[in-house]
Amino acid sequence: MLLAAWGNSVSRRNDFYFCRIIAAGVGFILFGLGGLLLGYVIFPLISLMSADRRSAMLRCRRCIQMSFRIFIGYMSWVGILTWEINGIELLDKSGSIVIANHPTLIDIVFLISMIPNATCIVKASLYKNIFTRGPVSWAGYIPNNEADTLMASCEAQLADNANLVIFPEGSRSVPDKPLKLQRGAAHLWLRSRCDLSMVTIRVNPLTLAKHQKWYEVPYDRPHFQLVVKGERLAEDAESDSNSPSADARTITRQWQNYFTREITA
Amino acid sequence: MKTREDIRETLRQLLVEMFEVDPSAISDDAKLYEDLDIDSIDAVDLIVEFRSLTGKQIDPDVFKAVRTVEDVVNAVSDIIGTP
Repeated sequence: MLLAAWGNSVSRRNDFYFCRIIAAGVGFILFGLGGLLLGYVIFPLISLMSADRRSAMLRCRRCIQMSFRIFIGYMSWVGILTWEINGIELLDKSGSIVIANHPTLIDIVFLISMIPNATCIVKASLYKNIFTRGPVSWAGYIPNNEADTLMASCEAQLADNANLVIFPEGSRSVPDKPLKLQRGAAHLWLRSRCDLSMVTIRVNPLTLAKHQKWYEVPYDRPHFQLVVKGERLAEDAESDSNSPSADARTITRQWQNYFTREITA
Repeated sequence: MKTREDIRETLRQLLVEMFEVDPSAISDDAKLYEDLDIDSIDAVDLIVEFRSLTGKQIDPDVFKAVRTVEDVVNAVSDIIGTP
């Protein structure tokens, strides 16, 4: 009787559920240790061996890209998740904007692992967090607290050929709520008119979502699917009124419709 | 722009023309961000517009404390010195 109940209660927990919880915990520890190692040992050494601040920054970005590849390799190797990407070649650009929807905590890990010379806008608190402070500052990621200079910092990094990753939602998607994009990314794209890539991230079953704890692992192993669309869509999104604020609204609406259609498809 | 009523009317026009705000949503106590979908980038554009209309320097810090339509009218009227 008891055994039967036990059997029933675990029968829906598939794909080595308990192992995946432990692997997720180990993943968080590895991520933190990696941040410390990169930020306080490797990156200072790279900086010593680099001619100037800029070449050190580029090497640190490359190093983060490789570390994230290894981290994704870990997650799929131990069976935390499976993943696929379509259109990865479209991310091989320079001075472009990459926008994506933002269902989970680790979206940025996937994106940065696949984008050369990637930069991104990060929560200002990551500049205070002991585990992330080193990497985000060595790599020159842009903190989101400096409202007056944020747009200029983004434009400067694009002009310097970095590929800027932005989640226009501003924060992780709220599960079961309609997507709501903020307009900053559209303003930036209108000003710079650079190449644009749009990445749709689908995660099924959902994991590491907003308000979800690391140990709240879904009963089945999550699958991450990333689909990259190139700049043609950006041209479609063009708008020719004379008012930047109206254009930014039009484009944001188009992007929002695009992502909504893609994630519900 | 001489009176508070002028400022209110100018603001109303700017909101509708620049930011596609629904005219019926605009009231004195309507909140810019929550009710009218005006974000910080729009607010900067709005300041620039008022600057060129009034010919006065407007300190962006004054606008940081602004929350409602009435607050904007008060801030602008303080700057240009309407009664």
